Amino acid sequence: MLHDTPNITYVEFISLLVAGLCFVLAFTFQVAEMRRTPQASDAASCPGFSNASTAWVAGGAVLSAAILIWRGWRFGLWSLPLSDYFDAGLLLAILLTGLWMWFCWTRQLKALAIFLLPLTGVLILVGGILGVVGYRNFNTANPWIALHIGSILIGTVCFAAGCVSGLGYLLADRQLRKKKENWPLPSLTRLEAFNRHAILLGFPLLTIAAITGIFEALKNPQTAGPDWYWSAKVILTVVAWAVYAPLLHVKLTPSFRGARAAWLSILGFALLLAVYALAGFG
Amino acid sequence: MEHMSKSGPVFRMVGLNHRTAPLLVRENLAFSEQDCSAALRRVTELYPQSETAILSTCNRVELYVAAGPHGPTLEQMTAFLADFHHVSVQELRSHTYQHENQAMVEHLFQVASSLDSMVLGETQILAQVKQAYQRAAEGKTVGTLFHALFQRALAAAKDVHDRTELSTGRTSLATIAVALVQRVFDQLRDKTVLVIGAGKISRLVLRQLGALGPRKILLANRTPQRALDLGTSVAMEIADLAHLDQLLVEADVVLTGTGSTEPVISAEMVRKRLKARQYRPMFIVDLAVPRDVEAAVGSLTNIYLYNIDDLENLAEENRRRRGDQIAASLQVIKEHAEEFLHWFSARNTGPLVKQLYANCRRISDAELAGLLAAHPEFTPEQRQALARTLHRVVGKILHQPVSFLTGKTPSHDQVHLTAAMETLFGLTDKPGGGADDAHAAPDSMGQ
Repeated sequence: MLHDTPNITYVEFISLLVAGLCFVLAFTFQVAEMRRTPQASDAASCPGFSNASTAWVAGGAVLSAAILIWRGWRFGLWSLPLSDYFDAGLLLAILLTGLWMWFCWTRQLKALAIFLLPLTGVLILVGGILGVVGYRNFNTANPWIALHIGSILIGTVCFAAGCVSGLGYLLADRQLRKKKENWPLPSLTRLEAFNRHAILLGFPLLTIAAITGIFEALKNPQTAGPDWYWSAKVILTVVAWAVYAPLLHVKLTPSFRGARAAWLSILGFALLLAVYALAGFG
Repeated sequence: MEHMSKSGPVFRMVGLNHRTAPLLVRENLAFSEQDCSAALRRVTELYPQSETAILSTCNRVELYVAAGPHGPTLEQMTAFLADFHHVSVQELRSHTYQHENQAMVEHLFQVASSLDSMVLGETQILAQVKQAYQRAAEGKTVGTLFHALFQRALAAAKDVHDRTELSTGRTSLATIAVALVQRVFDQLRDKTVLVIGAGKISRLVLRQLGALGPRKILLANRTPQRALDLGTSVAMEIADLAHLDQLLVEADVVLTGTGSTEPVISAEMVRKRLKARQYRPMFIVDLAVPRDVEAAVGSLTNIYLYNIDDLENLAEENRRRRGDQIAASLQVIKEHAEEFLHWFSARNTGPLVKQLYANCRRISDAELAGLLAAHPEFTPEQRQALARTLHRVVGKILHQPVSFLTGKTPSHDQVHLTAAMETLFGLTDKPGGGADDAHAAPDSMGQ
């Protein structure tokens, strides 16, 4: 299955696997450190941030950036390449590392950072595998497709933030209901507010991505294929859009808050990942 | 302060605490600010060569003295406390404990680290020890030894809190309740607190919640006058308990503590109000026994319910976790005590060694002078050779015991060895004067 394609070399693929492994190792070290020092008085002093885990995150991000720069140089470009899923996975890893750093910097959201690591590892590996197995040239010279891909990438980061804050919310809710204090997490209201803001940013991007995608499909029906509008990819995108929509209107749909909102933001992100996978293999 | 004698115990303490004496006795023995200063002055007047400090808190009264042969004995210290507070020595003796030397040093370090406190790991005692030391320093009743000892005690306590988890987790019900509220709400500036009934714990919780600046505190009580009385200490509005349904719509945090035998808040009552509340989260602390809030309330969407048992369980869990840290804390204290006693022994052994060499050389010089007087035929070279030989012999004989004394001997052995050397070699006089000019406290003492 693994072989050099015209666009992805074997060395690049192995390097991507190593980068993904870095994030997985960072996650492992962070969990181990948290288990070693499970107690902390508040979310700001969240344990688990050892030098080892930080070093692995930095290693993963630097390696991802190096592969992208190398590919840009190889293709004779002087900008970051964004030609296929392989590059998209690497770029997402760098963007999510930025989000990880921001979580750490804000301190109050530091406890959420750990959730990002396995997510980053999975995204980079899926991107790499899709790039090799189901290679698809994004043709970003087309401005509509460039907008489509750009919206998806930045939107994915926003929804990833929504997903991890949703996970954090459910964990904090569970701890409160179980009457345990195992892990210091931000307050429920802070997690909920962050979740809403993340989706508020991601939703317009998802909408733009959907509109530009539809526009391109209508313009090039031969590429999109017959009955493209009934494809699983399109249906799942619409479902994901519908899942996120009520989260933006708390006043109109007050019951979609708290744990329900958290579940929906996780479900929405899972649907988006499914859409990416379908788009890659389809 | 004068130097303590090299002979016998140096550090002594007599005290009582919450484990050895009931509250009534502790109250009688407690020192007020003025009493404390007066007592320190009196001890210094009675025993001018002693260093003295008094630690007096609601849970303990302890008199610390660094004393030589002319300083107070443990019995005299007990008598002093009894006399100062006008209680009988016999009565006091049944409630006191006493420590000397290493045991006293370790006891002080444990007290400062809150290992001896009623609430394990609390940090107030550290400030109290610091205050006791500062008061004694201002009264000039401490010298080199107690400066070093108390500074090391404070450093040890800080180290215990830094290196162990002795102080992690809250143990009072009020602080636990407030911490739980903060796990739900980021801040209370736009939140409403509803208080139903106001028992002792409710008031404690409310005082802490009030410090977080909630938008509004609503007090619903069956007795209006009671509500007004409480309202004087915390700014709040009085609400009508008959409109509890409506109050539950407005409230974000609810504290209940009525004497009602029936639940005041039912699950049905809250469930009906969820929509009107727009499913905002609500945190309910039920401090009443029997409970004011039906248990089923806690399973409603975005409603979090804690009762007094839940708070007590969390407190107990935190206490257990702190208890698990005792061994690690004692290890830290042991390290600090060892370092302090090494410094203290080295401080004493320096002059002792000097005196030992001086005594032996004086004897050898006298013997040499007698020998030379009896043998005038010795040439100057022979006389010098004899003098050098005698000095070498003295040096070689003393090398082993002195090396052992000044080497890395365990501190408790060093104290005994020092005493043995003093006795065996008759080193009763100390050349070079008092403690203050002997050895300065090492840098670590000044932390």
